[in-house]
Amino acid sequence: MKTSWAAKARTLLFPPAEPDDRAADRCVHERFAIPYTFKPQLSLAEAFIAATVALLRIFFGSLLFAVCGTYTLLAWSNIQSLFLRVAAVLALVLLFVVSLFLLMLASAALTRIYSPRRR
Amino acid sequence: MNLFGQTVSVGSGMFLLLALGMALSFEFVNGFHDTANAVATVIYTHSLKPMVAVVWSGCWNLIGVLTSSGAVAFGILALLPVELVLNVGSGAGFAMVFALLISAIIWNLGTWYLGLPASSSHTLIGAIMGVGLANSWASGAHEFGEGINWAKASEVGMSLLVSPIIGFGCSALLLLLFKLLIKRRELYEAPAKDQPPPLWIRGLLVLTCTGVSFAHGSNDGQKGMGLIMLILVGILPLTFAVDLATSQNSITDLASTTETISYQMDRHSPGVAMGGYQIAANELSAYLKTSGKVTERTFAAVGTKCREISDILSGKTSLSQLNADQRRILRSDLYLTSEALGKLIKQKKLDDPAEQKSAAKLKSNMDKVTKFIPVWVKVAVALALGLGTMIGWKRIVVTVGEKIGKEHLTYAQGASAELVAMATIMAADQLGLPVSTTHVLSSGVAGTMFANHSGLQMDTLRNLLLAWVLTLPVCVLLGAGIFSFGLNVLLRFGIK
Repeated sequence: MKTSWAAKARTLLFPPAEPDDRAADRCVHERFAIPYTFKPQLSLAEAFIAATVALLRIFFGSLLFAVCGTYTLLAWSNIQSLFLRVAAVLALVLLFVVSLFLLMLASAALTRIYSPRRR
Repeated sequence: MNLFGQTVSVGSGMFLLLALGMALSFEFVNGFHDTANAVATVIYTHSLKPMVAVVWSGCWNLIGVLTSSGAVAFGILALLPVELVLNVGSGAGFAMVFALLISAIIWNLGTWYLGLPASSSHTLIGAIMGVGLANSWASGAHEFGEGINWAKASEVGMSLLVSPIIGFGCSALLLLLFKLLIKRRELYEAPAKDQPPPLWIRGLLVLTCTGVSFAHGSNDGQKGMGLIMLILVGILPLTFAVDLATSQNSITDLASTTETISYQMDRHSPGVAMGGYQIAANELSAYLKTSGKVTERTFAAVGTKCREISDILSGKTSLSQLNADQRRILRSDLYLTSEALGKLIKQKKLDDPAEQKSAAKLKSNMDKVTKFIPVWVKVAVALALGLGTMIGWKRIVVTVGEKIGKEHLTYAQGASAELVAMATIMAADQLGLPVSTTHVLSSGVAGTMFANHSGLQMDTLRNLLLAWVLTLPVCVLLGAGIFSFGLNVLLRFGIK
């Protein structure tokens, strides 16, 4: 059966959790803390892709911060009514959080697409 | 739009926030790397639960940054090309800041993903050298590497040699000493699952973890602060060029001391006249380059700049009485004069002890006006570093704890390696030793594995050594490449 576009996107954005075998005897709290929830040994190509994506995340994250931050400051200084001012700032903060979240999801999906060892 | 009491365009505001975001990201990534120095041994000896150790270390990093003086932050800036530091508001100045941040972030991220504990200080120093090199090429320097601080380069080279020897040797010897003096078998065997060490070893390890975290925050954590201050001075000179909170007494004191020093400088340069303030500034800029030599004109230039400072400050009760141009000029003059006096003192060119003392006092007073860090900058950096510490610690900790030796870290091995790392940080601060804590701790773990006949994972050690040796040249290339690219873009778009 052909997988739908939405199902493909869902798997890409939220891959099924596969705990490492070495963490099998540990409780959830310990799995979170011990270093078995990620692949500790990356190949050079995997590290290159991961570092590039992380750099893009940093750059675009900073860009989002700059755009939302500037408009937040503008809204704060230009809107006279306190209610409207707070509403505008909250909306911009929410916009920043949501767009940052989407950026992180998109970059994680990008990493999975280009990773040399796709599962 | 209004930012910190200064009106700037929307584009400038956006650019400022972008630069601040990048600078804080650099600190965040810095936190990923250096946590392992503090927590690896504590986690693998079960002295503290991983999350407790990481949050504890993050908090002490935060306290370290908040209580720091800022001396290290400005020490790093002293390595940058003088002309770019003075004109940081220009396109080239911003290209420099972005080149430094991006190259340091790239190398830190790359080595972190590979789980290699490389030195963040070497990374930043490499990027600074790269920018210096590219800048000297771009400005048509006569001598190769004129823009590079060779003293710092040789210090890094020495560190590459000294750190592994100290770490490996001292930790191995300490472990052997432990074995000789303390006859308790459980200290030298791999800990049973989740079994914490005896109370005194546990206390010792937690203490060293705390000390290393605090020292990291108060020392390494400052590097980003200096860059943030450069960005702020470049975009908002009216607010951040000089410390507007400087008291009236300090201003009066500075005005009178500069006048006194100007007479002293005149005695070193009889009959030498500077043809204006700009010529004096050029003379001092040339002297501050690594190849700069002291002449009579240097003393005359310091004297001229001191007189200019005294003129600007005379009759003023607050620095907020100065207009934008005066604040920018005052910052430039104070920076050039202070650095020149520092170099003259270091080179022992001031023979008279009284003259040395007054020059040192003037330098310190001048630095108070330009080398200040607002509390909100410290808080932002502390939070970024602390969060980075808490989030990205795992990769390097796994390398230090599992991939250097062939057996699990014992209590005594953890204590030996961490004690040596802590002692090294203290000794480096007191004696100015050119050592890297990251290198010392990793070599320390290797040393204890060797002394305990536990065996070493040679693949990891080879990768570690390769990363340590490559850090400087790669970062020089990255810094030079990104800075040149930035300059090229500015030229194409005609931005000055």
